[in-house]
Amino acid sequence: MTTGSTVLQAAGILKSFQGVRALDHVSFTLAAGEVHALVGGNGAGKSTLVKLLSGVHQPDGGELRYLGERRRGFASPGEARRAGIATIHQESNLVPLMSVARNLFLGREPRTRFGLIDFARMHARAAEILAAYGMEVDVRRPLGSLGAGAQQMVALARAASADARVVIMDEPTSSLEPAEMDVLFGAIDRLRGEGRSVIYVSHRLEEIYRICDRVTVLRDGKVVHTGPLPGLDRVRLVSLMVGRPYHPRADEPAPEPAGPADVPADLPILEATGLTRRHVLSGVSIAIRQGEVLGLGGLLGAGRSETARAIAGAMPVDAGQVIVAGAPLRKWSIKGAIRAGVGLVPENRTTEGIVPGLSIRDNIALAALPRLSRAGIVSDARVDRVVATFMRRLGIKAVSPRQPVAELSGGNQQKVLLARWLAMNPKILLLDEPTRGVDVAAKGEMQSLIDDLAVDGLAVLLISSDISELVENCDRVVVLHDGAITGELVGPEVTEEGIMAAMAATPQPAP
Amino acid sequence: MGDTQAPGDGRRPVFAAERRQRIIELVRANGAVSLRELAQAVRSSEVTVRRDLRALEAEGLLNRHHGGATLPGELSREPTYTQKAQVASAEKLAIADLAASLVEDGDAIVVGPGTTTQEFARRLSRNTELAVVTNSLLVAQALAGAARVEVVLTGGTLRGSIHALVGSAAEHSLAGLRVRRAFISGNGLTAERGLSTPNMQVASVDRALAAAAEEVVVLADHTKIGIDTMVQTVPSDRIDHLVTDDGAPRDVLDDLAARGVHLHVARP
Repeated sequence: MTTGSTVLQAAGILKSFQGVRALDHVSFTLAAGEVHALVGGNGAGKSTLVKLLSGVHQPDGGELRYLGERRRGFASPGEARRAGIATIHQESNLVPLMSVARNLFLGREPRTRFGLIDFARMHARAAEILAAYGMEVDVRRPLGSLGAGAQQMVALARAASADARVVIMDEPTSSLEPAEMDVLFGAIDRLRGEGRSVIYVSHRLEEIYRICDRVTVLRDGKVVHTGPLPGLDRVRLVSLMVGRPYHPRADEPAPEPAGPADVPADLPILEATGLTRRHVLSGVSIAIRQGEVLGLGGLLGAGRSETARAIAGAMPVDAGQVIVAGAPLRKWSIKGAIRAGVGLVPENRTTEGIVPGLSIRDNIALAALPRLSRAGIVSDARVDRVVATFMRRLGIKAVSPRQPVAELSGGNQQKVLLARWLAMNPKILLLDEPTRGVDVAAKGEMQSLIDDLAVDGLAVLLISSDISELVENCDRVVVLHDGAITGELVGPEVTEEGIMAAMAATPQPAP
Repeated sequence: MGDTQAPGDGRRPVFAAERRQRIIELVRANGAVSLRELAQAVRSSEVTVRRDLRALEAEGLLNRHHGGATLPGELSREPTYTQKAQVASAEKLAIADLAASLVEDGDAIVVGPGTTTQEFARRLSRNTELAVVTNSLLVAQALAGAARVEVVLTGGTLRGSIHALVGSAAEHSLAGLRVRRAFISGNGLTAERGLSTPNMQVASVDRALAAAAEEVVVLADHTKIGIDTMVQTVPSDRIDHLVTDDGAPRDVLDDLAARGVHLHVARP
């Protein structure tokens, strides 16, 4: 390793969007020849930092120092690129209709002495460069005809050949096959060997430990840890990412000599078996009983929302089955799932659920309208009655049912969304991050609401990145990592430590 | 993976209805049981038991309290502070005097809530290099003017009727603490069941106070000796010293002494 001089340094970087602080005095140092992992949960500030370093955003305060030169930031992505900072996004910013070779040399094609593109030379050089990355492709074919992994490699090769000093990779492996990953890691090793630096944004612990030298953990816009990866315990890294202390109680005398936990014997109302989708889920099986709250834990990208979406018919799967109350769902559709009694309250309430311009009443009644109408005629009185019931039951604070939802607080918007699904009389409720972005009081209310629903016999699947929320709400917790189950905790085993340990565990290959 | 059929690791499949039945039986047998005890007994989490209690309460089978459950209709009333302050005040002063002699300079002690412990605390202000951890606002206040005494208050939820901090925050701030002696009071003391109090939350903190100390000193006037209230806090064999007054029933004191409790009898 040729780590040494500092290539890029950020000091006390500040960045806010609409008054919300995205980066709060972030300092970050990148050495030459270093592969530096950048990790953190949703909203931690990773992508904001990446966008600052690649010229998409400019900092509000603080200072960058790049190759010894002090500067406020990069005025544009072009300026960052010219300065030698190349960014490879999940969606490559290449031109799919142009040839592979053309994409590789876009903007700096070899020219003949008449100023025309020297195709022969370009193709030969392109084939040579890609061969060095272990790729054997016809460089004259359009880029779009290659697989996602191969396209990513072209983007990387382009960045590397363009004399980049710093290569930023944002989730580079999310669509790669294992063999392609090996090639990518080989390429990263080469960059490191040449003394170039890589900022590697990922939430996959295996990869981070495999190829990165150091790691910086962001949480809520702040740097909570930065240091070398070797010697950093995986569970400790997880604990830094989720912001909960990890202290297994090994030294304390065991407070309860409790035997193994009891597991529920009742028949599940929902059984999902072997849910599999390439790159997303591998063999996820869960079961929930009436009155039970099953938690789904895991790091960002572990496949939690995808599991819920698969169960709700909102995401097709390659294999797997969902059985509700003993009957398999035949058609894989949202409609079929709803009819069977599965309700999904999605993670992103503003884009996936709430219609902000509509009133509370209309937002609640939206999905249940077919049920509240006879022969296509909606009975206003019935709608009013249903809406009033749920507003009271969920404690929705509003001036009137006619108030536009946009005027409500986050917690109350979430309740409106919940009411919409409860109005459908579901048997199973899938809650994806129900308390993200709501205040502490609303969190407490949500907990007692979940208790109420469970006591009423509803089966609840609760997805949360907040580990304490899982511990306080769940009878059982299934932990996912990289699309596979790495642990199931029952009853007294449901502790913050237990969940974090399972989050840090390596997934076993699906049977 | 992870389903319930034939668990090979000692896990036992149990129906929710069975678990609820066991909870009812446990509460019947013990009068009052805390959430944690119930969870341990049915090998489930407190979350699960919390919901079970809610369901059982909805059916009228149990009364749910913060932190536990009792049978419906059971009397578990806690006298207020003012009511207690009027009871046996001369004896309390004498007990406080005597108990103060069990404190040495340089000690670290925990002091529980109560009218007797408040009197006891007043007598500590002349001690030096003393560290006092307490969940009682009255004890803390009594020592506010003592320059050489370090007073540490636990966190917790204020229980106004006894001017004390209770709840899990109070228990947490005591966890991991180790002091020489705990000075605690209660509402009743018998040889069979030890110290007890009518309230679940108060009992939990009292237990935490006792657990923090090498030795437990109970301050109880004669009106409390031989009285059994709802929730046991410290069993007799965990009590090292009892400071009481000479009105206490002899037979109970003898029983306690036989169980290894050192008796200190004050004469008002």
